[in-house]
Amino acid sequence: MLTSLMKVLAILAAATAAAFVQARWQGLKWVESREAYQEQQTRKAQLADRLIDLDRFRELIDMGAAVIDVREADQFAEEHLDLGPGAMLPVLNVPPGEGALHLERLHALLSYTGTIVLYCNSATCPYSKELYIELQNVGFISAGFPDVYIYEDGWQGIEDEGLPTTSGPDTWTGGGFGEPMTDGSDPGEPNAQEANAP
Amino acid sequence: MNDGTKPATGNTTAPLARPNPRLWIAGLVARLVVGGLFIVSAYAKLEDLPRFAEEIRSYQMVPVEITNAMAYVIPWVELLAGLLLLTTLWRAEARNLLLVMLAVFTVAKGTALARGLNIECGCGGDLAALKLIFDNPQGVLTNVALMALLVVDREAQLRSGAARPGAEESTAADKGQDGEAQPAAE
Repeated sequence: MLTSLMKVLAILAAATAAAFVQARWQGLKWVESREAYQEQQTRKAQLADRLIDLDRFRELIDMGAAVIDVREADQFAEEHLDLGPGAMLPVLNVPPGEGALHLERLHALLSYTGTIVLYCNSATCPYSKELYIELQNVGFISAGFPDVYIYEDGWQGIEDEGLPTTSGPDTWTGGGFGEPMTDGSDPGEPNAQEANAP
Repeated sequence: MNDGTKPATGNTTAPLARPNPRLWIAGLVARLVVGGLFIVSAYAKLEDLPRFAEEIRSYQMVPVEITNAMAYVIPWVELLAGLLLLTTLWRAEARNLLLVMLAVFTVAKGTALARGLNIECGCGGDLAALKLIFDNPQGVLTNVALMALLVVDREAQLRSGAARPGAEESTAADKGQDGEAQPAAE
């Protein structure tokens, strides 16, 4: 019995040691701050008015809004929303936690539209909200511009509703399929947007 | 079948009971399934520890301050215990550890269900299929099934009859003397 207990303790000790090494190597916080966590939860709760349903999602796409898929790159490459051949811009992919790495492309995106819709995996997926907060923190979203929404049901909703999809990695480098706006405020021509409807 | 005779002198490796092939196979399958699932699950968690920490916090069952530490240690425990179970190195200890973990996870998932918490995000990258198995509400049933498999493995080990040098095993002589068989050591 004692031997068995010692073996269990040895497993736990080895796991703790491995975890400690990994946390140090990856620069992870060993202790989470309650204040920081509560602040993040408060900011996420304040995004309730940014959440949209499918009808509003379709409406914004028709108006020429850009769409950003906030899932892992391999998930995006496997399958993602297809805005159709008439879309001014393709769906972009900004993986979780990489908002700051895509700022240049996001700024280029504002030449085509002032409205952006984010989506991630599902209604309980936090990635879209986290990207929104990250973009606020770096000043990309400021004083209500650009107008950023979050499609609440995310990829799960896209699949459930049978919206058109396609596959392949995100290769967008800043050029749109249509003409960029001159003043950064007009979402685009109605004719092109109707063809965009999924 | 044990006919009450002592094993041959010096032969401490002869089986004391006829192994049950079906039970042995059942135990093997149980170890492969449970050990394999835990190893894969541990790998998925180790790829995105902050995400796993967030999941632990969403259960709202432990202080926020320790959720990171839990998120870092649990996958390594799963990985080590899964490997030990598969390789049968410390089979019983790994099994008991996994049983305790499954029991705790089941209580946590059941509590979350009862409180109406919708905490699974469907995330998991290439291992999204794994999430389908473990997400609520089917996750509770999955855990119960895994615990049942571990019990099968325990029975397979107890009844295998394989003698280990130095192990506290029942011998035919002991059985004959006190009329009561001692279970194989765990």
